Amino acid sequence: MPKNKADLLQGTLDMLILKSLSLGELHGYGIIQRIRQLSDEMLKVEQGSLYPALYRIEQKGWVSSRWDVHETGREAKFYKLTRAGRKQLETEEASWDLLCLAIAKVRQAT
Amino acid sequence: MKWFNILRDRIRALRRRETVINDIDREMRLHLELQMDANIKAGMSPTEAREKAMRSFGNLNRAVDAAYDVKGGGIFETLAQDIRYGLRMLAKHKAFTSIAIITLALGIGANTAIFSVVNELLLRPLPYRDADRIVTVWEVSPEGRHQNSTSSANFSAWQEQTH
Repeated sequence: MPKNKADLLQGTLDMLILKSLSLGELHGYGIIQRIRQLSDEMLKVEQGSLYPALYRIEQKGWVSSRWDVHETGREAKFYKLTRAGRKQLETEEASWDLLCLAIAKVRQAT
Repeated sequence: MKWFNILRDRIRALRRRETVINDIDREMRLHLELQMDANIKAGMSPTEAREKAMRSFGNLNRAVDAAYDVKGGGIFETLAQDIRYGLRMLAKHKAFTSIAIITLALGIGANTAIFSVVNELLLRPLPYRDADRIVTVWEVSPEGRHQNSTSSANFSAWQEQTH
């Protein structure tokens, strides 16, 4: 369970990044765009917070990265979900669902 | 494995700080360019597209710094800086350094010497069974002389009486 708001936000960002990568390899810009599209333009991840989070996730071994040529001909760093990352995504989604369920139950109380 | 990856990144950042920062910079610059392309596609003029992309990034240097802090920096880099600074200062003040080294050498040497003696004599138990029950026997001759050598007959008698 998250200890405070900052933890909650960081944990959420991790989950969103993992989720966006679960659909395929992406570079940093692509991750932000995919999260934006998938959320119907409601979630806008800041570049300033994306990269530190991405590097931290990489250190945890949930994603791996490699440099490759982007479709525009420029070099880009592509990120890919690892097996451990896929597992982590499942765990985080499950605990997120549980949290939503718990909050819904509290809110429905009369 | 997490601590191992962090350690590997930090050591890499210590040895190749420029490369690590360059990588981050390159990655973020591409991000900026792709954002610009998208802005131009959306109908903005190149200048406008660039400004808007920069704005969405916030302060680019700060973003690079924040990202670098994950890969390097922190306690490792500060520690390495402090050690280098300390060594430079020691090299600069030669008299102080030699006195400090001699003081330490003598101090450690004297301590080691005294400890080896104390350890042998006082701390280490005697290599016999029931070492705390070992005694030294003295006898006093009729003339009042103390001596701890005795005749074999006396020795046998003592041995018998102590068992």
